[in-house]
Amino acid sequence: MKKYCIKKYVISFCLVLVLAISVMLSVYFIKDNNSNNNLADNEIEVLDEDVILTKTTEADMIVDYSNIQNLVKDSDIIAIAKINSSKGLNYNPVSGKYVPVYTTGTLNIENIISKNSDVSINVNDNIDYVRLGGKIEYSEYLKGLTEAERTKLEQNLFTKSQMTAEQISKKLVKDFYMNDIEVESQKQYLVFLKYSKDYQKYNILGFEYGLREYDSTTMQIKNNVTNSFEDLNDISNKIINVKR
Amino acid sequence: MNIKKKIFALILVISLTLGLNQNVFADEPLFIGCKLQRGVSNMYYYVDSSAEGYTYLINNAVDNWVDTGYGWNPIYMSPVASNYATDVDFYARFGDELEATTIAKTSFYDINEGRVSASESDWFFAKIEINVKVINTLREEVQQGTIAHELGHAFGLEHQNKNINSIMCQFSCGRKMHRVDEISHNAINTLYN
Repeated sequence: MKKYCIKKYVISFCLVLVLAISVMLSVYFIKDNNSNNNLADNEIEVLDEDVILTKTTEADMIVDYSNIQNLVKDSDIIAIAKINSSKGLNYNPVSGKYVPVYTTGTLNIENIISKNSDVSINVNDNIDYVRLGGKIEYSEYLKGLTEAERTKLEQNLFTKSQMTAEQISKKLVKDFYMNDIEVESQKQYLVFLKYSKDYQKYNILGFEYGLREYDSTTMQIKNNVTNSFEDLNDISNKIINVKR
Repeated sequence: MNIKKKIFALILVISLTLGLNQNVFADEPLFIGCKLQRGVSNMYYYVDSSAEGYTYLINNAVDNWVDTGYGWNPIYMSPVASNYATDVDFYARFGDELEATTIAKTSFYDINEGRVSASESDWFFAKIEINVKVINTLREEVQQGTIAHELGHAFGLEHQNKNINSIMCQFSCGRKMHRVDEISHNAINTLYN
């Protein structure tokens, strides 16, 4: 009887051990597959030949917009919108100052998910928007830099380039925060908007978390981190719950 | 009794094994994908006049990376008076409204026609911009931590937001560490050795 009890304990323990090792190995392989090492292999992104400088940015943030609660709390209005137009600038005509590269244009509000009571925007309204990041001509980009920054870029560029200064000036600078997406005209998105007093337009907040492609045929919203689509109703419910 | 001892010994061995394998569960460093073209062993950094007020914090953050307290790493940085051929440049700006949530940022430069982003191309130099409007709302320890965080990006380290004890965790995700941690120190050795 005693031997039987011990045998039972040994078998149980071995089963637990095998389970623990399996979990450990699974976690290890999942972490390995989710590695953020993006070293290019044979698949290299097709390059836009008009882009002479791709400026990507990593930042330390004070608000975590990957958390939808923060995004919802900071937004004046959350809606499904269609982008009518987009253009890159690095100058704010309201303040008269050079600013970080941003995209501006108009969008059409197609469906309002949530809005603050003092927001007078309605469905079918066309509104002006701004969003950090964009593409501008190199010659315009230089105007927004200090003398020291300009000199340094030109030292590097003209050393390596086969083009004339005039050719270079017409090329584009692409300036985005890492992992962010570009606004594309004629596409529909779930947008989180906050009114900007400095620009007198609505700012699309939250980088890749605040601008999410909408598929009207399936009524799903793209998750820009996983590249999968999520049900609009589920996201709407989350937003409404936060607002309550 | 012998069997009980054997079981006890088995449990002890397995516990030790699992304990040593904790690295499997611990957060590993994440890399942007590429790195500084000229390496980190003899770097020059420039502090623009706009960032003069932060020179003390910048120098402290640099010193922290040079001597992390976790042993040797290849980082060596010297300040210089101009940005000619420097590896890292520091600027400070009164942030635009569109950057209201940015404490500081690092941009990567390699002007070579058609080159893409830092995840696909080594960079010649990095520019760190401090957002005066936001950073001045934080205590000094956090300010220095942010600068050390941005230097980590300049060297090629990605965000590590699941580990609040990593210097590479964003402040918005709860970073508790304001000095270089051991994992980030080891990551530099992995990247540049």
